[in-house]
Amino acid sequence: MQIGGSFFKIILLVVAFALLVLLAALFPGFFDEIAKNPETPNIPYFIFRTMLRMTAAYFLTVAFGLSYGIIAGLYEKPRRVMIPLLDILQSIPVLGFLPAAILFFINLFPGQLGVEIASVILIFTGQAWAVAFGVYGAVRSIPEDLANAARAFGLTGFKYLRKLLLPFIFPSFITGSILAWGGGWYFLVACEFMTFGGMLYTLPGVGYYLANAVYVQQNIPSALFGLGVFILLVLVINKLIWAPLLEYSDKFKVQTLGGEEVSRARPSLLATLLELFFEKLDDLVEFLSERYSQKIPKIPTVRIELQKPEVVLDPRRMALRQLVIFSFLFLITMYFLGLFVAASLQKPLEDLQLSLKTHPEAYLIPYFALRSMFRIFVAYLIALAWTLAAGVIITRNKFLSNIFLPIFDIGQSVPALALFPFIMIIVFKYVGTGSIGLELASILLLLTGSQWYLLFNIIGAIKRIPKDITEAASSFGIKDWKFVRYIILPAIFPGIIVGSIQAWGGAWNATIVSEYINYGGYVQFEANYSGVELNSITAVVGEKVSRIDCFGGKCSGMLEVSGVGNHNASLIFHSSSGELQLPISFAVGDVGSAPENNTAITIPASSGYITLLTPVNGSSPLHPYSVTGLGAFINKATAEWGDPWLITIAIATMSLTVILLNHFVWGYLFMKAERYKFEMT
Amino acid sequence: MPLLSVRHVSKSFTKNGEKIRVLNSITFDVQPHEFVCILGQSGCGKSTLLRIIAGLEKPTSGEVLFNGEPIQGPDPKRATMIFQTFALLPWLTVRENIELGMEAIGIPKIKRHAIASHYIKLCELEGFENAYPPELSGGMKQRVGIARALAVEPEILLMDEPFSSLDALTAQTLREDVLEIWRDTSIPTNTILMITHLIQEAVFMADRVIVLSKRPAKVVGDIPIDLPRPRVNYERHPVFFEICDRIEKLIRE
Repeated sequence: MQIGGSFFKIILLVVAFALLVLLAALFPGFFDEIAKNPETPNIPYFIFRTMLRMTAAYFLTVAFGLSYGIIAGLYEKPRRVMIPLLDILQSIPVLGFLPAAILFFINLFPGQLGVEIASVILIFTGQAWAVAFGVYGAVRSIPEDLANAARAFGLTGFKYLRKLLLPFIFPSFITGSILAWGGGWYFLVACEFMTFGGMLYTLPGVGYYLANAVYVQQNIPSALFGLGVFILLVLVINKLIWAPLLEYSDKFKVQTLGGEEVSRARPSLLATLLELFFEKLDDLVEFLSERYSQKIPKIPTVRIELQKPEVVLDPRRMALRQLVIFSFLFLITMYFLGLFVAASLQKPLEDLQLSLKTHPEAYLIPYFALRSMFRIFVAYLIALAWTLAAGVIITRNKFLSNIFLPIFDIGQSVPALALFPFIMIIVFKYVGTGSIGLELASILLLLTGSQWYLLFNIIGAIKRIPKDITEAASSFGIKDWKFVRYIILPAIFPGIIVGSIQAWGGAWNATIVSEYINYGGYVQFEANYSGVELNSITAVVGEKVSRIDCFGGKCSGMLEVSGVGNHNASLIFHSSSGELQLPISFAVGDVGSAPENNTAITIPASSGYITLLTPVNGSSPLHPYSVTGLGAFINKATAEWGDPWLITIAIATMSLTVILLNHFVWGYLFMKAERYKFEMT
Repeated sequence: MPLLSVRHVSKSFTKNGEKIRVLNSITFDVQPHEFVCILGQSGCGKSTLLRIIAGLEKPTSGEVLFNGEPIQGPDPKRATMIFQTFALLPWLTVRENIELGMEAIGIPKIKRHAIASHYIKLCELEGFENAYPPELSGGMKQRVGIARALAVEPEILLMDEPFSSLDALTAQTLREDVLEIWRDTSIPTNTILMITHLIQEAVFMADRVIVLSKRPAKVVGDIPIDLPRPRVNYERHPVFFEICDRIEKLIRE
């Protein structure tokens, strides 16, 4: 992670601005389109709401992460349950719960409040694990000397927390927070624009502006503008909040022997304010404790059994026996989650038999899981290939690294979900919406949700190769390909494994949004006719042309649409006696019930009747573009069938797949990687 | 003709926009078969000087001549290096670490194996061939470092504070072993240039001690050590301390 500005970043911004001006010059309508968008004037308000949402979720994360991490780190008994539980919780693809969670909270708190609470909680579930694990790892790695010294000077209870523990974990807390905040951006877009059950749930925010511009208004300039605002917001927060905090946290890093010299920079305004705040807080606590010293219950003295610093991400922390126990625990958890889902869908969670009978696809869930896994694997290979090449080339060339690192830094700060609409538009336009186009779009979407983990772990690992090792290698004449093969690749192996674990986690989550693409899809079209002889109907919706066959008084087929919302279509009726063109307009919800009202149309040329059944003058059910996979299945089970059992089983399958893969594949490789780590002297 | 000739080597680099001068026109020679120590306080730039001699860094001005020819980048046949932190690859066994340098210069596999076996024996590493570095003690690790550097049979061996991260007893044993290897005429490497900040270590080991001043470093003394070898017997001799005192004075000035 490289947060903070550089000269090149400024240049990049200037270039981006110049591009914008160029765009405006080339396409005169560009800014008009943005100005025409009725939502554009609301952008300051959207930024405010988005920030409020993020901040609320972050405060939940801090409260949860700090208490969970500290308790699990300090006390042996709770740790035995808390850490495996955390492992399971963070393996669950959070996005899978999005639809069910929204329904649940809407039922509890009708209207926008429910959606808002659901979104804050979902963003929180996307953030919480990074902070909890970071804090936990730091608490567990307090050096024995330091803890003993603190105890020898009589720091116990609250004072121990305030004077040793909290400052010591501060750097990990900040890096965990930065990761969490990035995760929050990712989920934010999904939360602000939700299409589900024929309904569009939106929350005012920057993500909404962007998604609305693409899906509903089909206003690409506005969407680009929204993306720009979004990226700028992410960068500004990084620059104003996280970069100074990260720098400030260096102060709390415990020097190991032979460590590098730390150059102390001028403290930032934020750091100064923070110090002042803590100073005043200390004064207050001291004042209060003097006054009410008898009334404050004493925090029991914490006895820490100190161990070797623990690797936090080790997927094999759980022994196999524990894994079995927790798989069982996990299934019980999943049952309750099922109850939760059932409650939110207001459907009974009783008849599994019936669910399987109505949707026999459910028997194919393992196959769907394999298909998703294969798709992730392809995306992973692509990501690994380019990030390895880029990592090696960039870190060995100062000029290239000056150019590309800021680009990558911005690239990874763009929440992948915000890029989805653009990727879809481009792929669908140039490759089409056939199965190749959909698979390609899906893999590209997975890529955006996973590649940065690999890239930044690889770059970090290359940078951490001790200088002595590279010097030794070059003094022995090891260079070029041999240097890559014998030094760099083995040296970054542990980094690749860590990056892979994170990338696969991100990719599983992304399957939910990449295998079932709400951008457009197919609408069932039906019409009856009499008195005329119709061969077929050609339906033109935007750029999409669909052919509907007619036979024996009935026409039926699928009508392809892009986007959601209102559509103007043109129907061309082909009969042996001639053609007739007819404009219709209809609305497409994500999914919904078929409209009841039928419209009869008279064709004068051959004096017959045509009755359009669907779609017409109302909301029409949409079957979004989807590929075969577990993510698509979860979506269908939630949005199209509303079946609590199938949702629960599918999410359970995905979580279990993640846990098993982590344990057997990544855990094995992680152990292998142990040998490749450099010793700290 | 000297084997190695350092001519007016200066080095400066910029840090935080500030130009820092590290080496100030360093000049000295190393003759074949000589054991020379460069002595200076920590941070004086002696490591940078060694890296310039190894060809890992370029001097800002001046040049380094080897057999009368200016050096161009690192060349394992000319010089190899021993590091304070050992710089062993943790994923390779002791034997693989030693063979890696030979592989890089294209020595065939069978020959590589034989040479490695020879130096494993010479550096008393027998029985540890298949161990991985993290399984070894500090002293054993540095033995691997020495074997690796010698195995490519360079004309000069560069040592960057090779004993600084070892405990006192291990360091002393290893010093004596290095001196023994240096005097062993059966191996082709018999010129050593070592960097240290320990005066007694330099006086104990070197034929000549080149004393560097504080940053920017310049040569403030080039002192021949005429004590007879082996010097184990002279370590408590007044002459030994006399030389040490003289050097200390030079450094402190």
